[in-house]
Amino acid sequence: MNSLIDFLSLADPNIRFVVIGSILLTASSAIVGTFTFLHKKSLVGDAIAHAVLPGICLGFILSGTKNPAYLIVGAFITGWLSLVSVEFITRRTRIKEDTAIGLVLSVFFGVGIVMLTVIQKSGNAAQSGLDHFLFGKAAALVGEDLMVFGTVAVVLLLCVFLLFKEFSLLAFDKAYAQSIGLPVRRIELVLTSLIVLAVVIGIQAVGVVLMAAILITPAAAARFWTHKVGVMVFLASVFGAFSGLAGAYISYIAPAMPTGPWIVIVISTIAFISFFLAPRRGVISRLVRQRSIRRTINNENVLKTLYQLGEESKNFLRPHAEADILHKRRYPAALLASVLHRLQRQGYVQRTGTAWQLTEEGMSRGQRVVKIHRLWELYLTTHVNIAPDHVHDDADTIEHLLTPELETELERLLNYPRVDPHQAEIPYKKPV
Amino acid sequence: MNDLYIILTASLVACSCGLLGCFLILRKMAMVGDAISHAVLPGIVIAFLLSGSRDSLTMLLGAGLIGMLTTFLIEFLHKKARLQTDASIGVTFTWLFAIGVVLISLFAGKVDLDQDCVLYGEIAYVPLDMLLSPTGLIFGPRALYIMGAIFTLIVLFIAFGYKELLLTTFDPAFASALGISATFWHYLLMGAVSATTVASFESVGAILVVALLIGPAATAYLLTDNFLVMLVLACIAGVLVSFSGYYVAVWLDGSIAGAIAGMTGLLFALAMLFSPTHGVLFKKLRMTSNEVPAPGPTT
Amino acid sequence: MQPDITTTPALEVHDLTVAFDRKPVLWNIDLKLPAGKLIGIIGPNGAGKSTLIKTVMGLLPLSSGYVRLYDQPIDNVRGRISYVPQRESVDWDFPASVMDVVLMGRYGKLGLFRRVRQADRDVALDCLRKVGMEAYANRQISQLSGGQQQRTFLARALAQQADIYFMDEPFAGVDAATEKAIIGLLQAMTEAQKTVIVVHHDLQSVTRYFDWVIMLNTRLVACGPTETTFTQQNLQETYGGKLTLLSDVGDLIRREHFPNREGISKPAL
Repeated sequence: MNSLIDFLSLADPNIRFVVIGSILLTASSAIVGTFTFLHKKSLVGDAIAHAVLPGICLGFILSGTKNPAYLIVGAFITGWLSLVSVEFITRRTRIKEDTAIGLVLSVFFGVGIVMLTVIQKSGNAAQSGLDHFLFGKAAALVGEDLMVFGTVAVVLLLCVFLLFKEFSLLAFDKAYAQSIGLPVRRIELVLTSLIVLAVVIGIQAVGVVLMAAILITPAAAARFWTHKVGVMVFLASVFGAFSGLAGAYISYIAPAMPTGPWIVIVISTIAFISFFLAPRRGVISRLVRQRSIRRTINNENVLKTLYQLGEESKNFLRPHAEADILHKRRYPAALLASVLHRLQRQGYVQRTGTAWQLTEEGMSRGQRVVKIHRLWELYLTTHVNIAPDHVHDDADTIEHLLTPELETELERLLNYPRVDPHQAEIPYKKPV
Repeated sequence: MNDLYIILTASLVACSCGLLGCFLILRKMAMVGDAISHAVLPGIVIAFLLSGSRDSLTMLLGAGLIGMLTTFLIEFLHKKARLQTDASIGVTFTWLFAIGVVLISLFAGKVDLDQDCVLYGEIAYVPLDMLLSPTGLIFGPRALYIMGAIFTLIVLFIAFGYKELLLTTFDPAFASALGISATFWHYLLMGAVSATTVASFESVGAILVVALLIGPAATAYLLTDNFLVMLVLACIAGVLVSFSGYYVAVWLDGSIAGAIAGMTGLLFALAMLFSPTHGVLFKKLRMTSNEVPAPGPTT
Repeated sequence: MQPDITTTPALEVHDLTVAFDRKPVLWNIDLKLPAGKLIGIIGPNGAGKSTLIKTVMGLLPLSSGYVRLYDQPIDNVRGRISYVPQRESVDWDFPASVMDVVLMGRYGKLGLFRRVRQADRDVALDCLRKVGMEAYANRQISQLSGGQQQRTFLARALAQQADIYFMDEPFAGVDAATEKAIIGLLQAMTEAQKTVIVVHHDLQSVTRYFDWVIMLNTRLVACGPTETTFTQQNLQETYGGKLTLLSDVGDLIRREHFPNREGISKPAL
């Protein structure tokens, strides 16, 4: 616990560099990554990430130092080259894009590995630490690096801020963007350059191999929470920053641990949690909703059965024993009992001795279900051409679903019919 | 002799991967192959921790399962979580690979693997691990035998399932209509890719496996219009890059795996430019000379 | 609602509902088709024509209802059924020759692990001759024109030697000569008591081509012999605008994650 406090107090200037650096790297990658994700270029990001390795090595070989400015230039060049190669291969041969990406990715990386091993054996003392680009090492960030990466990150953020609406529109509808005269090609060029830049600085944190994760995963996680691009960008950057912070902390307490993989595990966990918990799109929320639908269906079915029993006896408020209900419609007995008790709590039925009786609300709700059922049956026979003996099952579903607006529309469309295809009366007003 | 062992092992890896790669690229699943080759890492580490050895059958089986799990997870994220396919691939393999690397660091003392080896293998050490008879007779490198067995299995797999693999690749809907389950063959193929990846992993690493899965197959695809010929050409391309890559690596004194991956790219580039049928340079020439008018119907 | 078919129907679709992402694209389809007829499925874009044949073939899951062919579930009669998918559904850059593709039609008869024999090659070549493509047997499929691709697919279907054929838009993007050749072939097939069911777009040719028509727009508008069914009134109903209420309810089902049929799927027969 003490280590966490030490860490978060940022008292040590080294820790300060590392923390600020990691957050900056991961958050800006996540922001650019959101657009990578929306433009469906996730794996292109992966290809660029692998392809910067030879550029970094080349930058080192030519300059002889690990000065980040040289390495960035080298990385930028090979990163771009990889993209050009992918595009050339897909355009000029019958090779499909995924194959081209995989090929370029592995070949560039292979060349990078050869260079790296050659450098390592060259005995140049300055080379130690180059292999941090493979898995990232946020803890190795120093002030000088921070200046360079900070500048790049600011450029990235500024570009995204200025071109926000163009990037969004392009992701949504490229043809339309073109038709209103946006320079689509040039905007795409800027976006691609931003991806390359984001990769170049992001690999400081997670390394080449896992770079794709901090581009895509924050965006994928954010996607579960919102439909708005702006909110998505914001959430992705928060998720990215948090995982960067967590990675820096792990680097701090366990220097032997590779930072990159931990950052990726943190951000993936966030994504999986989002996947399960997010409102509306999340798995759990879907399950909850389905449960509540089931309950509504069960409730309404029992009310409907009670109403139909009332129709038979011409007395809607007459009490019925559970056995009578079961006789009219088959339920598991235990289910029926629990549904009836729920309906009682909600004020739709009341108990008289061992029998159950509809309340006013219960009756009108049961009546509505019966009405929609019969209207829908009629609609299916008259408008959808379905034989009268085949409409019942469908109506059994729709009767629970229709909104009041659609209900009115249905009534109007059918011109308030009196009976359904089976000559059962369609109830409109409150029968007493 | 050591040179020969290394080249032979690399060639066997290349041929196994090349054969499977032909199916992968025609199914537009090259990146799924990439994902699997990364995602088997945690499986390898866990199997290593449990069994304490590198080359057990359990490891192959376990990794086959992990590979299918990866495929399943990608589809699950795509269908249930409604992520785009490429994003679900990216999320899945980075996550599993990260877990693998962390596991290696956690059990650094117990697992005889290191992070760099995971990426580009240690094919140079293949001749150091010889298979010996109880009497001390040297049979040759262990990795060579493993890869030989894998290669044989893959050839048998393709020979026996040729029809089904071909049809589910070309037209999965038609295959299903015939009652051939596209899903079943899909998972079987992914299982084969996983097993090959695992067996190749320690000699060539994750990245070279990808290069060999995609490169030779893509090269062959540019050289022929016959699927059987494509399979053969992929193997030839694999052997070529193994030879040339090895000698380039020796010349530069760098990573053998990396050099083989580099040669894969070079060979592809040559095929792309100079292929008599689909090369960029000859394409124009062919297009003008090959326009045969469609004949009228005979019925 | 539709004429009774006295003999065993070639195809019986009962109360079929098919949903994509929960929204029904086919709603309670109920029809029977006689054997030995050339049958067209017509309807506007998005009416569910392809979905209907894919579901009948068992390629898409059904939300409710059942399908029977020759009074059997599909899996019992796969050998008697042939399918011609849309031409664009496959990658024509695939390294295969025309012969390779036509031989695929024999795979269902061959079973697992069995190789293609000379007898199969003879059948394939014969089928190629029927579609006027025997000269192209060794041609690479990437070099075929649209009409030739369609003929190749047709030859593959013929090689299955089936009794009932489902064809998804076989006339889309083919030249007039090919269309004429194909329709001649299909008519000859129905004379040999084969049943051919074709998804079709061109209303002009319906009366010339088909014995029966299925008129579809999310729901079944009509199904029966062309002369009595292909009427102005039915056309009006098929093409005259969507049933907005039906489609609104479909959207509601999707939005609310509502279960089809109250979440209880009926047991298939």
